[in-house]
Amino acid sequence: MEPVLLALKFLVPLAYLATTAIYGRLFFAPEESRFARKATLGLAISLILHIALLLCLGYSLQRCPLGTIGEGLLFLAWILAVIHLLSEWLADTRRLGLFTLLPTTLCVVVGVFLLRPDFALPPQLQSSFLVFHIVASLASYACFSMASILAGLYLVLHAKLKHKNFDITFRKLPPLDKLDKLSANWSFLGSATMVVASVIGWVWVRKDGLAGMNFKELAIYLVLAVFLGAGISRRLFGWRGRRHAIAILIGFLLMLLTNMIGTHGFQN
Amino acid sequence: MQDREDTAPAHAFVLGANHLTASVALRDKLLFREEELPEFCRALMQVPGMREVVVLSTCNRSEIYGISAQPSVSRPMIEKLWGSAKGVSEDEIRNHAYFHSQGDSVRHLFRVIGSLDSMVLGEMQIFGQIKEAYRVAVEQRCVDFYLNHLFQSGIRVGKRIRSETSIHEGAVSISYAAVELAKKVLGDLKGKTVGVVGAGEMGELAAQYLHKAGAARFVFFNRTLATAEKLAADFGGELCLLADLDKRLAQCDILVSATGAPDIIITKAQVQEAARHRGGRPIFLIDIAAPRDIDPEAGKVSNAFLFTIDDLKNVVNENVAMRKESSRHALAIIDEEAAKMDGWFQGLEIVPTIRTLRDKYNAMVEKEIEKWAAGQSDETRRQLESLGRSLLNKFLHHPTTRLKLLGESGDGKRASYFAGLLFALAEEEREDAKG
Repeated sequence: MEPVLLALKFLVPLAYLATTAIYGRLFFAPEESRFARKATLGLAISLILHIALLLCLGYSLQRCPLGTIGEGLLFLAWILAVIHLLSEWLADTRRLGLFTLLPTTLCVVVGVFLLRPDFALPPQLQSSFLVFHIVASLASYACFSMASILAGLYLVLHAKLKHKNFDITFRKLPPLDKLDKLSANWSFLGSATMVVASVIGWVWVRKDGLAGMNFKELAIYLVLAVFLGAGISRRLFGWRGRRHAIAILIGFLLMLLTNMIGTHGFQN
Repeated sequence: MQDREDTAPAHAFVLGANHLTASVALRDKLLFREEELPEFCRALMQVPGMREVVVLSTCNRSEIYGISAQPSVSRPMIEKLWGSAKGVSEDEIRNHAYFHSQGDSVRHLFRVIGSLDSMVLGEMQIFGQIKEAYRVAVEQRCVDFYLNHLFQSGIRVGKRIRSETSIHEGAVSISYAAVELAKKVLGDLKGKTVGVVGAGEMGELAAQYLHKAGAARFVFFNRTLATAEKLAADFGGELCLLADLDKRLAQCDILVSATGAPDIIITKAQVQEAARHRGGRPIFLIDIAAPRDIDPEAGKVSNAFLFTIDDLKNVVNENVAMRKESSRHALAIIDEEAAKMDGWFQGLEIVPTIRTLRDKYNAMVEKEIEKWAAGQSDETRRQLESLGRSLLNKFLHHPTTRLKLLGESGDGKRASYFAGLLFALAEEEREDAKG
C-alpha cells in the first residue's frame, strides 16, 4: 500500500495543478471550447485520484482520514472540487473553475505536505461523532469558500461595470445577478451545514463530558452569525449585491482567522 | 444529373459579386428572390459543360457555385444568362464579379460559410443562407457527387468555426451591445420591466431588441402621451407622462432614455430614490440621447448601472477586435479543411484509371469463369463466380488504395501514367475504343 500512497501523494497535487492550468486557459483564451472538455476531464481524473488517495490513507491509518490538519485540508479540497463539478453541471459555471480550483489545489498541496501517517488520534477524538462533526464542518467551510469566491467575483464584475472596463474578465464572468444568487445559495447551504456540525458537536460534548465553550467555539458562532445575518438581511431588508458580497467576504475572513487561532479544547 | 462515373474532368468554380466588389444598387439588381432560384438553377444546368450548380443570393452577395468540364468556357455563358435574367449587361457583371476555380473556389466557399467574408465579421446568418441555397439546388436536382461533397464539407467547416472559435461572440451593433450589457447586470431579461423615455426612433429600436431578448413589460414615458401612443400599442406597454417618472422609476429594471431634451431630465436624486425602493435589485440605465438625458452622477448610485452611447460603442469595438483575433483561428481551420478538399479533388483524377483497371481484370475473371463453368452445375458456377470476385478484390486491393493515395497527394497524373504502363491499360482503352 505504501508505494501506491506515495505515488498518489505525488499524482494528486500534480493532477490538480494541471487541471487548474487548463481552467486558467479556458478562462483567459478567447476560444474556450478548445479547453472545455479537457478541463472537465482533468477535474474528473483529479477527483478520482483524490478519492483513491483518501481511501488509501484511510486504509493505511485504519481510521477515517479526518484526524489532522493535513487530512482535513485534503478532505476540504475534495469537497470543494465536488462542489465545483456540481456547480459546473447545475449552474453552468465551468468558466469559474480557475477560481475554485486555485484554493482547492492550494489545500491539496499543503494537505499532502502536512500528512502524518504515524499520527494516532487522542482518546477524546476516538468517537463516532468525529466523522459526522468534521464532515459537516468541512462541508460548511467548502460552501462558505464557494460563496466567498462568487462574492469576490461579484465585486470584480461590479467594479468593471462601474468603471466601464470591458476586458476579457468582464466578458467571461457570468452576470452579476447570477453571481449574487449563487453566492447567496452557497452561503445558505454553508450556514445550514454549520448548524448541523454545531449540533453534532454540542451532542458530542454533552455525551462524552468534554470541556464546554472556549474561544474557538465563540469565534465559529460569530462566523455563523455573519453568514446567517447576510442571508437574513438579504431576505428582510433587500441587502443584495455589493453589500451581501462584502458581508460574505467578511464572514470568510473571520472563518480563516477562526481556523488560525487554534482548535477546540478536548479536556474532560 | 450527371453520373458520378462520368470520366470527363470536373472543375469547381464560383462566380459572384458581393459587398466588396459591387455597389448596393448592382447587388440589388443581381439578387435572386427565393421563388426565382429554382428556375435560374435549372436554366444554368442547360449551359454546355455545366454538371452541377448551387446559387446563393443574399442582400450582400449573389454567387453561383458550379461544376463544369471547362469553367472558363462556361463563364461567359453564365454571365450572359445571369445578365439577361436580371436586366444587367454582361460587361457590368464581368467588371464587378469575381471568379475563382478549383482550390480557390473551395476556399472562397469556406470563407463565406465561416463568415470571414461577411460585411459584419462573424455574423452567422450566412450559414443558414448557404444551407438553404444548397437545399434548393438539391430539390432541383442540380447537385450531385461533387457539389454534394463540397457543400457538406462547407457545412462541416461552418460548424467547426462556430464551435471552435469565438468569431460569432459579442455584440457588434449598438443595440445588441445594450442588450448584452443589460444581461451582464440582470441575467435573464425574461419578465423584466423596461422603461423607455422618449418616443423617438432610437428608443423604439432599443425597445425592439429588449423585447426580442425577453423583456416582458414596457412603460413609455413622454412629455405628451399622444406621441408615444403608437409605441405603447406596438409593444403592449403602458403610457406615462414624463412627470410621473419619479413614481414609476423604481418599477423599471431597465431604463432607456433617448429624448431630444437639451438638459438633464433624470437626476441622481431620482435614481437614488428609485434604487432605495428596489430592495437591492439593480437598475440598468441606458442613455442614448445627445445631449445626455441622465445625470452622469447617477452611475455612482449603489446598484445603479449607467451606460451611454459611447460606452456601447466601446463594447462593440472590443467585440470587433475579439472577432478579428478569432478569425485567425478560423482561417487555420479553413486552410486545414481546404487542403483536405484539394486532396479529394486530386484523388478524383485517378478514378478513371482505377475504373479501367478494375474493368479490365473483371472482364478477364468473367472470361475464365465462363471457360471453367461450361457444362458445370449452377452451384459450381456460383462458387466459381464467388471465388473469382474474391480473388479479384484481393489482388486489386493494394493497387487501388495506392493509386488513390497517390492521387490525393497530387501525383494522380504520374500514377495514372505508370499504372497504364504496368497494367497495359492503354491497350485496353484502345480495344474499348475499337469495340
